[in-house]
Formats: sequence, structure tokens, C-alpha cells
Amino acid sequence: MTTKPALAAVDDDAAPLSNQQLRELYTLMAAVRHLDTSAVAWQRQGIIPGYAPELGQEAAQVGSGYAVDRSRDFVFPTYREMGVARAMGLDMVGYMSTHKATWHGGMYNPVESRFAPIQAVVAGSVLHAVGWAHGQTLAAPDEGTGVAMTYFGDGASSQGDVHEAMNFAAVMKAPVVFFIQNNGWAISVPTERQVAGGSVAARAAGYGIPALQVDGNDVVAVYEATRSAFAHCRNGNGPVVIEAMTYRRGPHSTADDPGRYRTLEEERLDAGEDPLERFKQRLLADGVADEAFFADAQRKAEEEAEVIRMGIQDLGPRPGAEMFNLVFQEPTPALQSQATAWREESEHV
Amino acid sequence: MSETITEMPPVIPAAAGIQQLSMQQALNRALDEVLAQNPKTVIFGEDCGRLGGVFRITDGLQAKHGEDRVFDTPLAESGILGMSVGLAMAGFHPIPEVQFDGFAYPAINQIVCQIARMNYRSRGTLPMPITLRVPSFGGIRAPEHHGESLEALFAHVPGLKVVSPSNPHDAYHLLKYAATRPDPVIFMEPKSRYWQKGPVDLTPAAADTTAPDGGNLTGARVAREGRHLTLVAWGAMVSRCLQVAELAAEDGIDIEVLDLRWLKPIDAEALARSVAKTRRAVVVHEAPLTSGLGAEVAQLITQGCFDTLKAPVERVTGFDVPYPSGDLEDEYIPNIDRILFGIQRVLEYRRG
Amino acid sequence: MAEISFPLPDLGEGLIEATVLDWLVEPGQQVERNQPIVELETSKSALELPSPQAGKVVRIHGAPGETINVGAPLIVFEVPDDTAGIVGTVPKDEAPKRRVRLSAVLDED
Repeated sequence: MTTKPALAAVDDDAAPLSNQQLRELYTLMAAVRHLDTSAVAWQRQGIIPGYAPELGQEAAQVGSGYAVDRSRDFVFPTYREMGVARAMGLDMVGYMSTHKATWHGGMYNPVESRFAPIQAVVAGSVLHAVGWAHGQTLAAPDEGTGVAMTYFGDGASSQGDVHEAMNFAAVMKAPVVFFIQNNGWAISVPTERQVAGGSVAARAAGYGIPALQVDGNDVVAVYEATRSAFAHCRNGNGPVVIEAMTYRRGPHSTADDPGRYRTLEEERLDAGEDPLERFKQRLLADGVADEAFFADAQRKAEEEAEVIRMGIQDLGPRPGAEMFNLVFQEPTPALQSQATAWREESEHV
Repeated sequence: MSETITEMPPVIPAAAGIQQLSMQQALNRALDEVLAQNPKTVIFGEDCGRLGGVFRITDGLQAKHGEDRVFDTPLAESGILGMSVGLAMAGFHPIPEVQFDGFAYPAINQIVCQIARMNYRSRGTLPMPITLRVPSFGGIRAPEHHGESLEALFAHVPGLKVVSPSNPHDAYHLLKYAATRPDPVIFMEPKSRYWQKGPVDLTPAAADTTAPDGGNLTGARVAREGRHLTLVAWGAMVSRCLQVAELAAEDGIDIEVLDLRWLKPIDAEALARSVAKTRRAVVVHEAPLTSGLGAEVAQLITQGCFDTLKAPVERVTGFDVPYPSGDLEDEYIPNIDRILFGIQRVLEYRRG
Repeated sequence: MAEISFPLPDLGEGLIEATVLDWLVEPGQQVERNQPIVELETSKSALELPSPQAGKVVRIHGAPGETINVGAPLIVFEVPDDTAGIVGTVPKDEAPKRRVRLSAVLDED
């Protein structure tokens, strides 16, 4: 039975990526890979209290984030989208500050970055994307509309909000790309014990939403799928589901121990090809880049991570007054009096 | 027995700008005006559009303002509230409706974890100007989950504000005020008071005031002045307390009724002002007793008036039971006798 | 005031239409619940329809001899809009009843 609706539109200027763009994608992936492994090290060094690695998901994250038009689109991440953030050009000290425990949503400006505050509730922001996207339809129904892209995983797909979001989006024809990174694991639970039917993308058919299941370790395939999905949404055809099949090579977080639920041999067999190495071999084979380029990309990645490390180490705690000042736009008298009491009794100045 | 059982005089001067409206009409009119004044306002929820809402609060608004501004959603409260977050992020002022109090529960995650926190999480860059209308409280012999009182739950959540009108005039003005605020407000409509008519002064707040609410919408309201004891109430319990005050007057007890209106923030100054005068207080609410908002009110009164209080603040409330079926509703909701007993306990109290 | 439309019900296990024989009420008329409002003929029988509710008749659909589909509007009533909605009943504002009397010696110190 083939019930999967096809995309109603593809990008008009869907030219193949230029060599320059391919090299840029690699540079981004290398930067993300190095920052990710650095962040794990920083946690071991006591610089940050915790981190959720995305090792192995660089192609899925960079490829999709690279397709975002920051002049009009908006991205709704979870807590494991560092690669998307980097591909979109976020202030990475501001991004990593959430893992420094500086501020829950991160210190970057979400409005200017077109990247919603980091979301700790699994599937928490999927509906936000639908609302934001419907807002674009209401504001400018006939122009090439802004598209919302919401990220979530195979674990989050079990949440009821994902069903509500897909149903709402399809009913309202909201320009939303539901971007699932199926990385095989929700902490300790594998996809086969998480996703009935085995595929999140397959569920899209029930909503009449076109779905693309892509090799999430192939950055070019991810980019092209995302670009097509954006074109479909932008032209008023409603939402698209993309399921990028990838693998969480690292632990769920720096506090996790995968050895309790999977063996190294299973990891080796299931992880498939390393997306970074795979892309490198392709660029080499196609003559797009040479070893000098890869060495340069690695050097840049290391320099960048070093700047970010210094940036987050320089982050002091936020002024305690922000606890009170940022709750409301119009603070309540009770909260103001609590702030006064705090200042008098607890502020160590 | 007194004939006057409502809080307003039965004869209303036909002054300009004053109309006799039901709360349903007053709320409908307020929404109509808010839609007209702010093109970024959108109203949506289950059956809000074509039907006009199950209580007809949005009656006619879709026809007048269009299907983009007033629309039906699929039947999913988390979806409605989650969508509100995204619309607010996109620059809209959503006025979602949860059809009945008890159906806010499926949306609690979005209300508590998202709506209440997004301004904070985003460091003030993504305000949540969301006015969530919730037909609330009991008294209409409705099915299960149609008679709940969620004010303590909402008031406990940092980042939310909570208000409940008790009469058509306040409903009109408080909704217009709430629907123009930059913060999320839970607007609890006493569904048992939707259809009783009362005078509504439609005159806009004076333009020369510096207060955003015209100076009279952010606090509590003295619904009846008295000398001997303060009854504190909100929503549908205000009219019941006014009835009780009439009865108490027959016994020579002069009762002040304070309509709290805002359940977060609570107008602590108005509580202190009233009880400093009367030196006795009973707080009345429909919600269950334990950890109900009455405890918060009692503490604020004690804090402000301990020196002069004649007796501990009494609470007359619903019980710590699931809201009962219609046949037992009158046993659950504070009735006149239970409120009178509460008053008597306070009057009899002697220190030492 | 609100209007409530009453659609032609299926009058006999799967019928799809009925023909109006004679209207027994007219617009503007106040009717009571169960008051006969119209005579209809179906492919099975002729029958008299009792009013489903009290209210003022606003409109009637179908002149004698005309056919009405099941589910199509038959008659529209005007009812007071003080209905509680789809569920519940509006509580009546009754004069308060009491059993408890207050007694107190108020020391006005």
C-alpha cells in the first residue's frame, strides 16, 4: 500500500549544491563535531555541569539547518540541536550557556537568531511551531511565507503533543517542517520499543502529510530533502514530515552510561558510517576538496571551540535580580516585594 | 427577608453609556471591541467560530471579524494552548478558550511549562500576551470535569496571572484589560453567572489617567461596605456572599464583601484595609479546602492585620472531594448556612 | 434571543424524506412542548409531529405537498438565550433561604 503523498512543490532553483557550498557544509560539520566532543571534555573538566552530545547527528543537523532562510523562517529546537544552531550561525557562547547552567533557554537572542529558546520538555515546542506557522499564514497568506521547522526525536514522537501538532498543522495547512532525527535511542530505549510500526514518517500518511524518510547521515540528502520541504510549505501546500535516520553515537547526556543498555559491538554494527568521514570521502572522490582543506577545516574548528570555551568560562552567574525581573513584562507587587526581600537578605554584594 | 439579593440596585439610572447586559453579552462585547482595536488579536478554541462557543461568548464574532480572526480548532486542548505559544511568538495576541475548566488539565503541560515560562526562558524577548478564557466553577449541574475551580493551581505557577469577574460590568472591563496585557492571564468566567443581567458602564477609562487600567481594574473591589466582618470571595461566590450579608444585617451584623477579582496578584492592601476596619474575616471559595486560595488569603490577612484580628480567619469552601454530580452540588458549594456558620464561629471566638 | 433549528428526524428506520401535508402552527406562534406542529407523510405512514420544545416559531420549512429531506431544517424556534450552553442548567436567582441565625455580642473596642 502506498499512501504517501508526494511533495506538491520542489524548490524552483533546486540547483545542485556548488562546490563552495559543499565545502561550507563540511566546514560546519567539522566545527560541530569538534565542538561536540570538546563540550564532553569540558564537562569532564568541570567547566560545564552537563551536556547532551549529538555525536553522529552532524549530517542531519547541519544539512537541515543549512536550508533555513534566516530572513523569514523560524526553528524550534529541543536540547540536542547544537549542530542546527551552529549551521544557522548562532552565537555559540550564548547557545552553550544553557549547558553552563547560566540560563535555561540560553543567552542568545531567539528573535534575532530565528531559533527558539532551548526546550527541555520533550516535544514541548512542536505545537509552538504550528502556532508560529499559522501566524505566518494569517499575516501574509499569499507571499512566500516563512516556514517553521520543529526538531524532535523518535522518543518525543511518543508524546501526544506530536499527534496534536501534526493534526493541527494538516487541518490548518500550516507551513511546518516536522524534522525528526530518529537516532535509534531515547536514552536507554531503542526505537523498536519506542515507535510502533517502526517509522515516524509512516504516521504522516494518516494526516495526509507528505513525508520524506532520508538517510540522516548523508548531509547532501538531508539538505535537499529539507529544501524541498521548505519549498512545499512556502507555496502554501501545508506541512511536511522529514524523518532523518541517524544514530546517537554518544550517550544521551554526559550523565548517561550506554554500557548499561547497549554493547560496543552493537554500537559498531548499528551506527553505520560516520557522517563526517563519509562526506569527506565523497568530497575527496569528487575532487571537491583535498587533504589541505580538511586539515584547515579541523584547525578552524579547534580555534573556534577554543574561543567558545573561553567565552563560556568568562560567563559569570547572571544577576539574581533577573530571577524576578524576567518573569513578567509587568511584574506583580508580590514579586517585587520578594525581590526586595531577596536583595536585603540574600544578595551577597 | 430582603428583596434585594443582587449587589446592584434594582433600578438603574438610564445614564449614557450604561446598559443592562448579561455577563455573556458583556464578555462578547468586550471581545468584539478587542478584535476591532487590535488587528493582532485572534480568538480560537473548540466551537468558538461558527457556533460561537458552547456558552455563546464568541457569538457572531467570526461572522463579523472573519475566519482568520475567530476560528475553530481541532478538539485538543494541549494543541490549542501550544499553538497559542507559537502565535504569541509570531506577534499575535491569542485569546484561546478552553471549553470547560476541567479541560484545562490536558493542557497543563503547555500552560505551566510553556506559556508561563517563555517570557522568562527567552529573557523577555518572547513575551506571552495570551488571555486564556476558562468557563469556570460549578453550579450548573453539568457533567464531570465541568465544574472545577482551578485558581489555586494556576496562581501557584510562576509567570501566570489569574482573574475572575463576578458581574457583567467587571467582566466587560477586566476582559478588555486582560486582553491588552503583555503577560499571560487566566481569565476564569463564573459560568453560573453568565446569564444574569446587570448594569455595565461602557464608558472607556478616562484618557488622562496614567494607570494602564484607568486606575480601577488591577485590584480588589468592595462590593458592599460593612463594619463587623469581611467576607472575601471571587467569581460566583460574590453574589452568594452579598446574599449572606443581607441576611446577617437582619441579625444586626454589618458585613463587608470584598470581591477579590485578581487571584494573582492578590490585592493584599485591599485585604488589609478592609479587615483592619472589620477585624474579622471569612474567605469563601468553591475549590477544595486544602491548599486552596483561601489559605493564601488567610495568611495575607493575618500578616497585615494580626494585631487587631479578633479571631482566626475562617475558610468556608468546597470539600477535599472530587467535584460531585449535580444532585450533590448544593451540598458541596458553600451555601448560605455554611457561610453563616463560618461567620458565627468568628463572631463567637474569644482569645485565651 | 437565540434560534434553534429542528431538523427533520428519520421517522421510521432509514427513511430519507417526508412530505408536508399540513402545518398546524405558523411563524410568530408560541408553542408548547409536545404540541402537534405538522402533519407529515412518509413512504411508510402519515403522522403528526409533536413539538420537541417550547418556544416561539420563527420559520417553517416546506409548504404542503413539498418534500423535505431527513436532516434538513423543518422548523426554527426562538428561545431565550439564557441557556447554559450544551451542558448544564442556568441556576435561578432565588430568594436566599437560611436556617442559621447569627448571635453575637460585639464589643466595639
